[in-house]
Amino acid sequence: MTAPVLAAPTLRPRGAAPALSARGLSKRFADVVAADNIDLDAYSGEILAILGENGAGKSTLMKMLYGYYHPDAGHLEVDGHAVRFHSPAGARASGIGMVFQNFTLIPALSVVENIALVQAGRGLRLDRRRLGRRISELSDRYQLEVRPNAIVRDLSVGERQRAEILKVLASDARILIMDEPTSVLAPHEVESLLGILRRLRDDGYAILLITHKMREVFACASQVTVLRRGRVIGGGPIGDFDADSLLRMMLGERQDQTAAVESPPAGPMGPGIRLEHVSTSGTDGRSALRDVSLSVPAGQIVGVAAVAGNGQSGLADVLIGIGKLKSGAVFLGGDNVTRASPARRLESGLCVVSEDPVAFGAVGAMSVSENFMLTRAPVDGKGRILRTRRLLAAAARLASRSPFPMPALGRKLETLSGGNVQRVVIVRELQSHCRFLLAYYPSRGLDVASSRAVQQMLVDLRAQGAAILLVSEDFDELRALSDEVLVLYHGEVVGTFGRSAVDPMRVGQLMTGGRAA
Amino acid sequence: MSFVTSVSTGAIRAGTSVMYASLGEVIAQRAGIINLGVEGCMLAGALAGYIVTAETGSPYAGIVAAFVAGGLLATVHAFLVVTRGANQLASGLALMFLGLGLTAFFGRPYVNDQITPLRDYPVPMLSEIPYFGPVLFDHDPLTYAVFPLAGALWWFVFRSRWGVMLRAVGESTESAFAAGLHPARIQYAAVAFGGALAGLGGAQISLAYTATWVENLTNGRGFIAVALVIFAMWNPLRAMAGALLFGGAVALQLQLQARGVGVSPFLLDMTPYLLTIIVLLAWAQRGQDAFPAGLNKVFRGTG
Repeated sequence: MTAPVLAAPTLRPRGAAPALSARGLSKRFADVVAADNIDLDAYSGEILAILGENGAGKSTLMKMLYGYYHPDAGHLEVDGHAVRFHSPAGARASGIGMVFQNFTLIPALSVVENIALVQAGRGLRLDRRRLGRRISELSDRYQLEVRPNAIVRDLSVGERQRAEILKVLASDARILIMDEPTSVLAPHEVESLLGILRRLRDDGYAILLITHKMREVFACASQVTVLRRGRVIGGGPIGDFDADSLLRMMLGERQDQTAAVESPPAGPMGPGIRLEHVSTSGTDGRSALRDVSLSVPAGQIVGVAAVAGNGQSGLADVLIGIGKLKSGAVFLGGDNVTRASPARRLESGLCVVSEDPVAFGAVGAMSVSENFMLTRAPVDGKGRILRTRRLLAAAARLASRSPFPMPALGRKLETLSGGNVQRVVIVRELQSHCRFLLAYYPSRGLDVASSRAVQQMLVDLRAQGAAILLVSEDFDELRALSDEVLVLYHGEVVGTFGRSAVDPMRVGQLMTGGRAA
Repeated sequence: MSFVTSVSTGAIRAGTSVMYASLGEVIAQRAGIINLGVEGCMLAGALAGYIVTAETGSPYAGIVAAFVAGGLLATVHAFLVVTRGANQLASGLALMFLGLGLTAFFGRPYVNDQITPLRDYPVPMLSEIPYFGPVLFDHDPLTYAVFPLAGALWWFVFRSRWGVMLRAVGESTESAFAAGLHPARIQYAAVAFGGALAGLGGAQISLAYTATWVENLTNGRGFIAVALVIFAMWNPLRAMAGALLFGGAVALQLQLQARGVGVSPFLLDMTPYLLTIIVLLAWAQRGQDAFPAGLNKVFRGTG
């Protein structure tokens, strides 16, 4: 863990009531207590970090503060006055704004239209000019650069987030709830976001920052509250803590699992995944691949570093065999599979942890055990007839081998958090039959302990001779695991680094379009 | 009147009812609700308008009744799909048959009745213009009203604050809810308004176009309206164009029949519907961008 960068002033406005205060908030879903008697105070001019693992109850807590869920018990105060929210509209009327983890911008609308949605104004007319002025004022002040008339679906992830923040600011919120805002950003975007948060803090906004990344806490928070299993475990001014003490509070007795993964370099063990001069035509807004050649020998991990939208999404289509290549060839284990059907490729041991597991890797309306069966993971033998009992037994076996706690097998995926969906997909894909693996952001949305477990699974697979292509936005993860790192920019491989030769600065430059020196 | 003038005039006359229904369905679908019961709403409007006109002697009272009747029937759909979470397609089809049955039953006494029709009001001077005059400026008030209505709805959907709210709900009820809107209210309003417009479309048939009442008077126009919404890519102005195209096909085949073309009238009757199929075929792949992402999905609210 790195040392604090720009420590925040920990002065509290004495005597002033907290901008937002919660007492005894509780919420249970069916038989799960998601939040248990939570107290917190957020003051204006301060950033309160809410720290906790997946499933610690952070998101549930925030949704209660924002009126999205009704707490079963407890109460809220804004500026010392008791409030009760029946919907987000009520929370917004009290000056609370939330930047959601999955942005709530509507892709088909422009930025201005999205922002107009949350404007308190009345009346039929949409005054684009006045709204445009307000947006440019705010974006100048906080350096939130966005093109106001662009359609949201055409924006990059970073721009979407800036638009989302603008939307909240434009609705005159004074209390900002940020739900894991950095989880979707590239490293350089994280820095600029933290800068934005500090400027907002200095202007007197009260900010609640939900995160499980220690670095961010020390980079900008003034106060910290740690949640575990729905309860407040501890907290106070950030100066009272260091990274180790926070981690201990977050993880409880499981802290031993956070030891860094050992990844000794292994030798290549024969042919694995190979692309030869592959070019694709970019569709659905995906960037095309341009003359990409790469080789992942069996028993090796090759990392792909790229800013979102630079062709890494297309790798999955190429390997699985969705759509046609413009040119080039694809080899798996030495066999030319360029014309092979996806079924045959999967048969030969190709596994994919997809870029967006919620959208492509799993079916929300199906249960965990049914989702286990979606790929040819050997869950129910070869028969065509579903044998429920056997399926459940196989699913239970699969789950029992999982290195981290799994959700109940009967739960529908759409009721699970993003981290839990990711766990389900990981457990399904990272099995021993896997010979060729393409993994996108395998630890995305996972907490420290689970991330480590996933990384350990990758290393174990490699030891068994799997060829692994790893796309990650966590640079430390890429560096720790990869035998080689490729940089993709605009669909082209613009740099290749051996295990010992990875230079973060140069990789960062290449990722953002600077040529190698 | 020349052949071209007759067909053009007929296009507008025959297209108006479909245009009302299409515009209404654009609004409902922009809020994320497919109403396949448009046909039922048109019939309800047609009959309600006819009965009230027959009883009061005022076609304008009939128009109001048609608006209300179409809106009320659509509200049943809104209740089923928004409040009760029923399947939109099933509920819409049920609504269509409900409208068909109810109007057949209550309409029986009026089948041979005479009403004061909604008469044409030629615009002074303008209707004297050769060719364009009779085509554009010699119609009933409902027909005159539908064109500015299409423009106004376009402005409403794409330029007004409420339009943004409407589209937001149709794209994602969750996001709209998170933005502090009340998706259910907006969907109710949109579906009811859409049904009310379909009712006006029905009234244009029963009070002006045919000025009679028979069972199943609308004869599938409500379904054409639903199909046109897709062709129109959920844009009111394009819906207007599509409805005129449909009206043109109706008028064309009527003219051909009147002139005794040697083709079976049954085949000629099919042309407007055939045209609709062709148009859908040609446009099947387009307009995916405009497709409201939340269409046919149900928002179950939160804990």
